[in-house]
Amino acid sequence: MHDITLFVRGAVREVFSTMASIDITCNEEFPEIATPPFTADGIVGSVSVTGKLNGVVYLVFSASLVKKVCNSILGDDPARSSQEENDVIGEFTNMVTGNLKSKMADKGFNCKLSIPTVLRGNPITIDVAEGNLSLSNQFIVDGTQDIISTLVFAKLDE
Amino acid sequence: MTPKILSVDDSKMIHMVIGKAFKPYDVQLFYATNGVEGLAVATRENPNLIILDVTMPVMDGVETLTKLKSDPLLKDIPVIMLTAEAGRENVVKIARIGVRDYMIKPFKEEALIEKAGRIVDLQAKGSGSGKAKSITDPATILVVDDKQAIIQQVQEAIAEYPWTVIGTAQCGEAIDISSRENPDAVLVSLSLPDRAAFNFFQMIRANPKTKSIPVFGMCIKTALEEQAQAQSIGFTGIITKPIDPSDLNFRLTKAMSLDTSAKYFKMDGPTLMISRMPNSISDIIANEINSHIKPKTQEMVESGVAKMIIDMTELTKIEMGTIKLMLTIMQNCVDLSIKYRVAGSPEFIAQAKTFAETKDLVIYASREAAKEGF
Repeated sequence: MHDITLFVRGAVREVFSTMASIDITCNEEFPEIATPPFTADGIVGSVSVTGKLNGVVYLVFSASLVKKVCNSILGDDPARSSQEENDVIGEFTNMVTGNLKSKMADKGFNCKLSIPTVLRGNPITIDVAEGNLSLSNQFIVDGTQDIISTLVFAKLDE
Repeated sequence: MTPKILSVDDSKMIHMVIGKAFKPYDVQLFYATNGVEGLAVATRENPNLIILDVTMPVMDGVETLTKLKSDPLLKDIPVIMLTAEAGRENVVKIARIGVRDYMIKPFKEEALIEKAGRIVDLQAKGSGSGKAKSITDPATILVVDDKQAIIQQVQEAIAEYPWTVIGTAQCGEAIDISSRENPDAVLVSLSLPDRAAFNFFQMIRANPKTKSIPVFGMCIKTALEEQAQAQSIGFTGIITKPIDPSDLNFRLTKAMSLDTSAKYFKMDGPTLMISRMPNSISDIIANEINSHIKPKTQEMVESGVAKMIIDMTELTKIEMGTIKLMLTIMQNCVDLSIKYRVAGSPEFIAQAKTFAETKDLVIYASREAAKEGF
């Protein structure tokens, strides 16, 4: 298993548990190597990474999971604006990518992060222009059918 | 006085998490969504603590921190940096600029409260701290210096306030005094032998009873190494010798979170407010007065007070800053339908005629003259 996959798994679990008190379990059956293009339904947060690690990190949330996460952090609000939801998704993606960045820096792969971007669509197709890494993870929220996926399309400058 | 905490973050989610974390405590929260807004709010509100995100649009946290630390009015405000990047390089970078503490995202609310509680006095809502709240309340200042002349200088610098100075040359004795008297602020000489000031500071911070007391290090301007060491371990600020009384007063009142408005705004009978300007208005004082204008004039309207005398009789020299300050007070009065009159010394009246903004202003020769028939 690639180090990036391990780091992302740890980061996603920590962010969900600490910020939203939501426990998630990694779907070990899900293929680690992603085959782009990747098609997703829901809301996607992304942060670009440049430097010795060059690429994009995506977090893909189902619409129902976004509502759960937002309710857990911000309190229940049936009429919550999509702007507030985007803010939470962007911040989660920033935290996961920041955590990954720190771990990669310890291994000598220093990089810088962009401000998070959030995309909405049904479906959204994510493809990669170039890169030697296409890594994916899938997590299931304990006791539910809600899913979060992560994608890392990147190139390591070794 | 309720501690003011400013959160600078582009994420509404983080603002809400911070708001939730501090909800049980008696604090006043302010929010800004980037460094530019953050600096503006910090200048206006003089917060006791800033919680600053690193990654933000417009102006990021590192640039904001650098600007805060280079501004004489803002440099003493303690900053907790929030970052999603736990890497050593990042942490060292922000520590070098002078951050008090940092938190790695994701974070638990309890962890934030624990860190903030080391910097500001967090009191549960409704409990009341029993500490001095206003500039007119008694307070105790502990001065630890082996030079009696410095203790004397501090006493003279704060003589206008009802504050008691306790002086000692020994850090051991200072520890006992701190535990016993729980002073409102401590000034300690950084040049005491055997790094005694630094050990003293660590002991003060380790004691739950004294950990929130503001502690200033005192040294000469050129002792840069001592200043850097003191800042890196979390001293509230540095007071350089020779002591500038107005700087010392400003920083002590700010560190003790005292309401200083009584220095400049005082009721004269039930219907008249006097706004008194001191004989010399530095940038620090102008900023302090500015921060009180709006709340004070609003408070006047709410309590049915509709007249103000802007008393400039102590001022002998007018500068552009003084004019701006006076115009701000006048404008606030106009906006809130408060009637005002200006009183000034003969020098003030003569100089006011030379400024376009004040040349036509009617200025009374004394406060008493301004009160007549008002």
